[in-house]
Amino acid sequence: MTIVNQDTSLGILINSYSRAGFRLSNGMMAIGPIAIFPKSVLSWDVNTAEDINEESLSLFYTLEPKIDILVIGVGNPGQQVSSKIIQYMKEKHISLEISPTETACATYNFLNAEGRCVAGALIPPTQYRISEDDIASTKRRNRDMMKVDDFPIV
Amino acid sequence: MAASGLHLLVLPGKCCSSFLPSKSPILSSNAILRYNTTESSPTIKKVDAVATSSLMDFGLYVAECMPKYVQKVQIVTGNELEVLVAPDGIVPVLHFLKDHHQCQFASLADIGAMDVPSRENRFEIIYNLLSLRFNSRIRVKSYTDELTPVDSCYEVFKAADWYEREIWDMYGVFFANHPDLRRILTDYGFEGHPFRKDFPLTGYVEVRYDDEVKRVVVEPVELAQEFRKFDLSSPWETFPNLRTLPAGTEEDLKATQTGPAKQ
Repeated sequence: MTIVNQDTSLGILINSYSRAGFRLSNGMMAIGPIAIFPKSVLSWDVNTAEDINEESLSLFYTLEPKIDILVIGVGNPGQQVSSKIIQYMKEKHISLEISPTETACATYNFLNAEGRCVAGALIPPTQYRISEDDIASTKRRNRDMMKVDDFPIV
Repeated sequence: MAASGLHLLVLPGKCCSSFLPSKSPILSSNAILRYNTTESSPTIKKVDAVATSSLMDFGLYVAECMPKYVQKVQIVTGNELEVLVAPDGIVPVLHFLKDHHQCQFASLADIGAMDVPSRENRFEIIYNLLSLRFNSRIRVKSYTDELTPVDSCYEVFKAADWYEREIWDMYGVFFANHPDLRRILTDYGFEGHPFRKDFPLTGYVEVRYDDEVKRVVVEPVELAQEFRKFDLSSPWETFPNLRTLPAGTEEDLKATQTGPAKQ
């Protein structure tokens, strides 16, 4: 994924996610829930998936050109988005793709790479799987690979 | 074992040497018409009586081991064993079939579903298992309706992951405790469950590239030609020998057993 992410003509892609926020392919780190578009990223004012209401999604349907798909990352698997909101967005003719944030990040990435008009509304997850690879790349980034960590922070 | 007890039952009015129950599939009239033929063309399926009867025995054995969940056992098209279970019992029965030493159906070949809208529980979930150890196959069938979730058998068979995702995507059957239940075949913004019988063949939307806005747009489907429905009585109607086919015979094993009837 990191090789694809370096192609800047595709727009901003998500490199990685954590409890705190997201690291993007243009080097930025966004903290907290984000609303991400091919050319820009904004912080999103939402607590949990249940709190998503018409106002929080108002940015997505007022945008020109109209987006085809809105990828919503609800955080942890099992979080629900209220069905009224789903109906509301259907009336606005915006397709929703609701899934846990882990899979929503990847979905946003390759929908963007395909060139479709897609926006992402992502809430950082609190529970997710960490691999050895993730711990190693964090250490490399923080320049302390030699340090032995009792509690590896990703 | 109760099965051997049944076989030793001497039915009044019958010859003592007859050990099989009166509804033996080998002797039923349907079977005679179809299988006791003297034609020896390679396209006529030959029935192996020994294999069928041992399959019957095994089906009864499974029904006795899991009496709470197994509702019916049948043999279809001569040599395929089917076990019909209640939806609560899918995971226990699959566990049993996978781990029991006499079964060892360790390979999940397929999970499919069938939509029969006229039924109350319109979807039938069908698990096909293969035993490499004993070289045999078995089918486990259960049922559900549109709203009732079914337990995922991911802990029993890891292969069930994508099959259950496919059934969720195509039919809308929700699998509880599935690690990652999301769409797998349909497009990202797609609404609807295509394999349902009330979903039309052409779908509701079509996509095309619009040159004005320079992107792919999704629009309601417009058929250039009116939809033609061909009413064929059978795909085999061009072959004169096969114009009238008997329905697939189902030998019902559980009905021959004495015991409390399940709903």
